[in-house]
Amino acid sequence: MKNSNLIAKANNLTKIYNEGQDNEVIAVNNVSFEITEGEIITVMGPSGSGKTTLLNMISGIDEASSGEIYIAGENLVEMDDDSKTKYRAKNMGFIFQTFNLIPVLSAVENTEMPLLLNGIKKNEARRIASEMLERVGLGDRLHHKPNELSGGQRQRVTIARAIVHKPAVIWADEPTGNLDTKTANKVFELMLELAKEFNQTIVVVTHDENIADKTDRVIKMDSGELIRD
Amino acid sequence: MKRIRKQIKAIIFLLPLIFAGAISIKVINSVGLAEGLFTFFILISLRIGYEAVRSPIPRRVGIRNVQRRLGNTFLVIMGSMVGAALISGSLVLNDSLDKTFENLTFAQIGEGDVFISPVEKSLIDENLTYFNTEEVEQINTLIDDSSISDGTLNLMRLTVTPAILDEKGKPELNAYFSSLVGIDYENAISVGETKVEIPKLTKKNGAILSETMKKELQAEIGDTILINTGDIKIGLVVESFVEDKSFLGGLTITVDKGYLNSILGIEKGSANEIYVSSIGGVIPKDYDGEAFLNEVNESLKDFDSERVDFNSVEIKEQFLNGGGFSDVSLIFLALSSFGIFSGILLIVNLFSMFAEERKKEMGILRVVAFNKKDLTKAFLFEGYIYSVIASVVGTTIGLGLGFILIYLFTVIFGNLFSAIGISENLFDISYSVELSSLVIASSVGALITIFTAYFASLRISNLNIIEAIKDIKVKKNNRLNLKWWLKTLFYFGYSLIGTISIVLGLLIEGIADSSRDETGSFFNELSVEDFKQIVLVMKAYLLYFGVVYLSIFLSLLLIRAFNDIFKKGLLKLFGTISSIVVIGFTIIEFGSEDFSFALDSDYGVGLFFSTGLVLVLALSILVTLNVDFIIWLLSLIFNRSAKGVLIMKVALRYPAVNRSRTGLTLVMFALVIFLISYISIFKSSIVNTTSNNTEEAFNGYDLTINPGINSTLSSRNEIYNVINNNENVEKVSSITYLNVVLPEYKYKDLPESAKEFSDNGGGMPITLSDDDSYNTALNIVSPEVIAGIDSPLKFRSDKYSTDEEAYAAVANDPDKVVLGFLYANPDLIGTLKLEGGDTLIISDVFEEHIFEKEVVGIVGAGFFGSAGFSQFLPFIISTDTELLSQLPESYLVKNSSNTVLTGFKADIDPDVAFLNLRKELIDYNILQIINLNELTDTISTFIDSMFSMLQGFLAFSLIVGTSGLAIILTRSVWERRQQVGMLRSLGFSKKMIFTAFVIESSFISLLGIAIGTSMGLISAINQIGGNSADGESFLNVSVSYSEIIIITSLVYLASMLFSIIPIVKAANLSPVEATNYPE
Repeated sequence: MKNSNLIAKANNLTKIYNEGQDNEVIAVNNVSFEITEGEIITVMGPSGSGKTTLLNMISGIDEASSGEIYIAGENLVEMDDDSKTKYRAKNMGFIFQTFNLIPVLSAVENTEMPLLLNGIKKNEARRIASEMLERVGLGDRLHHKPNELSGGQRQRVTIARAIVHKPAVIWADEPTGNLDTKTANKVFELMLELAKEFNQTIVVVTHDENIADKTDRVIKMDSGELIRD
Repeated sequence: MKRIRKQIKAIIFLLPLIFAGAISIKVINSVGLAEGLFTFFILISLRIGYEAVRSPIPRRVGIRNVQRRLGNTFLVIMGSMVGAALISGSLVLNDSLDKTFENLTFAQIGEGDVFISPVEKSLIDENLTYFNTEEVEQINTLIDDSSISDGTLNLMRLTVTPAILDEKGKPELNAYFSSLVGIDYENAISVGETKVEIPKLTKKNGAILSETMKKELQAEIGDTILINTGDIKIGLVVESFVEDKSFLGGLTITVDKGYLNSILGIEKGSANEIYVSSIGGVIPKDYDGEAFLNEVNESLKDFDSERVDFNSVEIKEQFLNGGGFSDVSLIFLALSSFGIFSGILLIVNLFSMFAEERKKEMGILRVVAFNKKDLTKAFLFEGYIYSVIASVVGTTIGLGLGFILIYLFTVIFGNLFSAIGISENLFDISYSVELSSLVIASSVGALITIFTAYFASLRISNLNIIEAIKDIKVKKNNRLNLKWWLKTLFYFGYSLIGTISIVLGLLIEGIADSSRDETGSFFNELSVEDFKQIVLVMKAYLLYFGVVYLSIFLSLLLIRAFNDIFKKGLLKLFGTISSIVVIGFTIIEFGSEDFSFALDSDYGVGLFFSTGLVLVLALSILVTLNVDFIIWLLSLIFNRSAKGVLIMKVALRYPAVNRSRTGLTLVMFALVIFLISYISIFKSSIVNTTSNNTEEAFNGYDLTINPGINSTLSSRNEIYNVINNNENVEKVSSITYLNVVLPEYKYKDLPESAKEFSDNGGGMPITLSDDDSYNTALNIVSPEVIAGIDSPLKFRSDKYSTDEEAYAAVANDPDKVVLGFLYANPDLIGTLKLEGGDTLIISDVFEEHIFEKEVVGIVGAGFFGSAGFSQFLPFIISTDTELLSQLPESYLVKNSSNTVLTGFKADIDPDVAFLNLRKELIDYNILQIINLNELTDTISTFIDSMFSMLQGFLAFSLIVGTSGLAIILTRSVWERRQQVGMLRSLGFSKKMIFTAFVIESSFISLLGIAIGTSMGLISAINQIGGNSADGESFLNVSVSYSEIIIITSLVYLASMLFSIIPIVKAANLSPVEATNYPE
């Protein structure tokens, strides 16, 4: 990578499902773009346009059919599963539309997971996670289980979990898709505030124009192709 | 009004069920069990079918759910078929044993139904007891005249050991314990409906050999067989062979009765066995043994003879029942109940899981069109399909299980029989299946599953729509309405029942005592022993169930009160306390003498099952409620790395939160393992006690040698001398079993339990009338045999300060005796209970020779008795050999038998010496020789094999636990795939996911194994340890820890094997799953 501020770079990324079969679907078609450090990017597009697939590939949780992905100078496509997993644990945070919290763990236990995965001692992890939850306004909900929290509260736990270990990039897939407009705005504001504070890059996949308006850059996709950057 | 309408609707809904039940009971009573159960199944099916036709959408949903995931359906069927398989396996065993005994009846009994034998009225100076020609004719005529029979068969039977002679005329091979049967040809071929074809004998000394005998002696036509009765030697020529049929079957040689009697020196028409055949074939339709015996006795009431009286016994029913042996399949069936119960829990568990998994779609269905009833129906239709498939699969697998059981039975019994000198050819179980058994197994299997599925459906269809759709917890509105109060009242009622039961249990002895004096009361009509037994049994049941009920329902009541009134969730606290109370109380009860008595009584089986079930359930509840604590303990141990902590947390928190699912799975595992470990301890205790006792009993001796039945004293002495002079023999002792009576004790005065014991062969010979004195065996032994006894004395005369002194007194003084342990058992001998120091009067059965003996003590409990004495008989031990010479020889010949204990020199190989001595003794009249070392091994192996087979059969129910665990894991992986995807995105490697699932499934299976094993150990050690009427154990408790470890390891491995597919699936889930949002 030429630019030292470059966080990620995608070259001619393509994802084809059921390749060679009758029901072949080209989800992402020959997409290339770059992401620089501290950038807040929105990926927009109608349903089925390939936004989530693109996000999954570039974050390394899905395999690309062809193309290259460089993250911090390394080609993600060439990494084995273990290396990718380790890389994700250290450098990435994830926020999902359906929160994806572990229902049997409390808010603080969900939040401390990335810290423990990075080898931080139990007590230290608990302290940092609690502070982070305080920070997202859930200081009084540390030991509540996800089903004892509202949608907005659950998403805040997810945000806390995504940034608690200070990753370089946060990938957010429709983070406000399951929230009402008011809550969605609040939650997204919080995301932005924290990302800026920790100088993190955020890539958000969303339908929401309001959200897109608040970001530095908008990438638009349609039918698997990048139509505007 | 609405409520009343609802109640009426509920009753109307139940009416068809009640109707179906009533019709089925009617069919059971008038046609049979299989037909009745099948009718019930069909009626229930019609009812469900009617609903299915009426409700097309629930039907479609139900059927689609079966087809939805075939792997899942397969596992559900695997788990649900266990009940049908166990029932069908047990019933196949039952059918095969019945068929075997039926075959044996055809092979060895034939048309004879009642067996008549002579009993001397006074001592006849001959060495045989028999009916003479006139008496035989009299009996035949009386029976003929009564028209109750289609024939009587008159036989002269001797129990002998025939030997086949080699070319030089020397005995080559012999067959112990065989029958030499003399028949009257014309009589023998004409008895009953099923005529027996018998080849005509051409030579006077010609003999017919059964196929079994042919095999045993390896005989060929023309061979010479020597029968040596000591006094008389008979040379027979093999003329023909016949298949085992009727009286010709078994280890039997058939000769002409006239010829045999002439050699015996008695009238040609004499017989010692007369068989009366009832009208009809070998097994007449609707045959009633007791009624026929009464008819025979009635027709013989005018039998008149100076010499002998007659004794009549029904043999057909007894033989068909294999002397009670065929009931062994009932043990298999009864113990299967634990597996069946596990199966029921599995179905409940599965349905709750389905409900959890399909919560959202169920909620949507409720919103769209379904009412609660439709949901119930959808689940019921689904359950019905599983039930029917599972019952067919289970019944079929049961056929295979039965086949394996039968194969093992044949092998195990064959080994035992050959070791105790009986032809192994006699017990070859034929695989047989009755259609009715298949119908019973599949109907019961299906009905259990259908009903469980129905009740589970009722419960789960009761879901909160909002909670279901939005996946949130809606705070329960615990209104203290009528329903709440009714439920509370129900708990209160049960608590009250528990309390009343405890109070009654504490007072029952007093109540029973006072009511015993009132004529006509229930207690008044019981015998002393029955009274004691029933009162103690009632006390045990009332106290035990009282405490269990009170603990459960009082804690439910308190939980309710605190939850709904005081708004404090105290389920854990009260659940924990009540589980501890129940477990603690059960263990305390095991230690109580009264409870042990009740457990050991005829009514103890219910207590065994209940305590087992209660212990397993209580510990499972305790563990489930406190699983957090266990996880905390584990986290202290596995606290090394941050990742480790995280994996443990992810792995163990699911089972900790899903308490009911975890609890049910634990119980499924634990119940079966409880039973298997219990049986393991029972087995090792019996094996251990048996080999200890046999070794102790035959201390230093290698063989027991029995001279032939009816052999004379001189013949016995001759054999004794041959053995004593054998170069390999170091020591020889003699034991003579003499049939005597105790004139002071009359049969009519015995307690019912002792009469029953006596009638079942406990006292010999069979008592004839109420005024007869009590029969017993006097064992006259060499003093050195006494020295070998080290069984502790339960009662000892005050004259002796140690048991050794008392035994020494018996060894040195022929006028002193020691009594066998059965005399210490009030249940068996009752009023005959004697204590050390009493004088005992003993006489011959005709009470002509009276002997007085002083009792020095009563031997304590012992499983096999001591020193080779007549093991289970109420025996008396004396060294008074002089006594024998005071009795007439003819009495001794007919009323005593003799065993020679033989010990080889230490430097000789006992097996070689045994063969050598056996060869030497082939020329003498020997009934049998038993190699004690081999016998001990064989008995231990036999017991071990029998119980291992039972364990193996029951282990089949582990399929419930293991497939249950696999289903739970499969479901869990499916339910959590998005969460797993998220974990993978966050940085969980495949290995970490794999480890987490392995820990989760190991945690459940190991906890289940630990609960089952620990409770099995506690129950077995306490129950087996206290398993006798007086609190003293017949068995030395012995735990084979290695076997327990092997069993638990195998169970764990099996559970892992079943779980590995879903675990690997989970580990291979892609992180993309995190973004595969469900619709």
